[in-house]
Amino acid sequence: MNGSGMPRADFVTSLVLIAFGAAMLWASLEMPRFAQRNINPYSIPGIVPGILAGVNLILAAVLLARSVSRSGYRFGGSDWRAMVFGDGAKRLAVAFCLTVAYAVGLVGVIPFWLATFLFVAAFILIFEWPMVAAKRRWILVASALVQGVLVSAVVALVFQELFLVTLP
Amino acid sequence: MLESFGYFISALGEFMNPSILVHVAWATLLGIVIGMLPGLTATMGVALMTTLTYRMEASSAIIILICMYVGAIYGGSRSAILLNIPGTPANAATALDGHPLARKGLAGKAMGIATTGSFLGSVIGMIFLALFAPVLAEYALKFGAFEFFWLAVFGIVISGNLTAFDDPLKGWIAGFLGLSLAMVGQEGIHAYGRFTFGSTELLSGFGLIPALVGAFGFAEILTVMHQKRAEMVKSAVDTVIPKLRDITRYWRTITRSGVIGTFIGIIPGVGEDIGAWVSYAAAKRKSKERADFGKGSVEGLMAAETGNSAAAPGALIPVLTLAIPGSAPAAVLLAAMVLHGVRPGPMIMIESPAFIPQVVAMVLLASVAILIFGLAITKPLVKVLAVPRERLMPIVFVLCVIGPYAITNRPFDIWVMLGFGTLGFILRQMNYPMAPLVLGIVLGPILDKSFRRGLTLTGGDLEPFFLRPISAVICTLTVLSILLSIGRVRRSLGLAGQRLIPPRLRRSGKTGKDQD
Repeated sequence: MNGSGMPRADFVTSLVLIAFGAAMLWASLEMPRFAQRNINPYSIPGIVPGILAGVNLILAAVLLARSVSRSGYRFGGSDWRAMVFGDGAKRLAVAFCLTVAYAVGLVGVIPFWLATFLFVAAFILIFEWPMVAAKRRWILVASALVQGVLVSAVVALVFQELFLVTLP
Repeated sequence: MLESFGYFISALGEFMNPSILVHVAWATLLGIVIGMLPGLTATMGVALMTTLTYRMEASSAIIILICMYVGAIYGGSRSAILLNIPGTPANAATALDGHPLARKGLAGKAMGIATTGSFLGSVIGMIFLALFAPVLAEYALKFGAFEFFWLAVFGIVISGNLTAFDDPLKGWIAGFLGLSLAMVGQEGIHAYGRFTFGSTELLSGFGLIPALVGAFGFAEILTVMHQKRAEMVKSAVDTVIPKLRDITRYWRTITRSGVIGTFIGIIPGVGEDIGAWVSYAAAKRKSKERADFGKGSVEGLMAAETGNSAAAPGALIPVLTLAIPGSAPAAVLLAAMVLHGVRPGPMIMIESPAFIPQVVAMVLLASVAILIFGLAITKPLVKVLAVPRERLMPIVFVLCVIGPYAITNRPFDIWVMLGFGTLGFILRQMNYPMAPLVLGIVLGPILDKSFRRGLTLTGGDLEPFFLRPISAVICTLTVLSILLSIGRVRRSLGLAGQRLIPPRLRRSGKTGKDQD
């Protein structure tokens, strides 16, 4: 076990995993034993989750010990600014917001074809807008709208008519 | 054996009808395209296709899924060669030599070698599938609750070890997290709803397909959008048809990689990517041209592609005989088979003896299809890679939303996809492998039921878990896998081994190794 070179992330993860393992252990101990039903005590529902919670706790403790030995508890002085404000992080945040907004906010609320059209067109426009020169932006808008229409129409037709799948 | 061969021939004859051949053609081609596109993996392709083929007849649906699987694992080599981005994780080793070849203006040659390697790898894997699966299925009949319990534990441990080479701890954490998540929902003995917090949606637990689409689809979209844009090699196409000499020259490497790939595929939850890496490493160690590895070695490329493609049929062996997936896409195939009323597992040779030979025939058709498409239509396929991610990812995400919803029609499954996708992305950023997590979700119910059934049978006595012969073997393998991944233990064992060997033999052994 050589270990990864990210002791800070490992330190935080180990704490999260310890909380997860402890909560799982507590919930497993709280599970009914069905004594009144006279069932075999070795088949009670909490036994395996309890053992798994224990294993999770042990693994998290090893991760914690390893990260502490590599000073993973020391924060500050890191390149966290680049991590949070870098181009990759911005693209990630925008992609995450758009996808979640589509899946949770639009699908099932408005017709599927409309939700899909809006999502596809918006995704393309938002990401490609800064990459295209001002003079050529009308082409971008037109092509994004066309792709939105095509994707929503093809998906609806292929899934519903050809494969008989119910769409959300 | 003869009976199985008879089933195989009759299955091939049955599949030689136009409608099945059309399915083989479009599913393989779509698989290649899905494999090529970064952001769309084989797992995602098979999961999506499972929803599309849900209402089809079982044999047509399963042949489509197998063609998609084999096609996608091969297709990933294209983007590895031309973009230096593996289209699927299985093609990471392909990029090491494939991309340098493309940079030298030999992209066509690299694609031809990758195609041939993939074809030969699939065929070698298929032969082992045909030979081993029936034998293993018969042997698996001896497995009881105790053996299945250890098999589940061993699967998680070995998958954690091999998918996180330098940090098995993270592999095990991912695996046990998967097992823990599998505990959510009604358990299989008393139908008690565990960790449901009063939610009726959680009673049925986390579906495998929504979880996989999240971990391999949504997480992949986030990863692709997070990374910088990839540049495609321009000098794309010289001749794709490989020289016979390039193949015959490396017959040893091909055979070795095929065998290694298949056996890595058989190991639960390890899969094609590790098959490729191990084959590549073995080829490098044995090669006379090892200095060329990483700089555009034909042998290295051949080893990687043969290894990953052989792992696909290899991963089907435990699916069919033990109902335990050898890889993430194989886990979806397992779920799809169950959806279509096939019961993979130890009883398969008794309940449906023709099924394994049918799957072998399906793999053969898929292998022939990748060879034909790979060598015949290169230019249009290469154009697919020019589609910018900003245009492709929204389409992939639309499919990620439809896929999980289509089978159960529950909006909850879309939430599960989003949750697993976010979790998968975060874990991946911290170098946690996804395969043990997925395997944990599949093995959770098996581990749970086997352990409690075993304890009930013995009245709480743990002895049979350790003393029944097969249990003892799997238990020992599990403990050894854990111990050997701890550096200090490995070094101590190495030292102890050295002390046991007389100094004279040690010296000659060392000299022999140096000459190798």
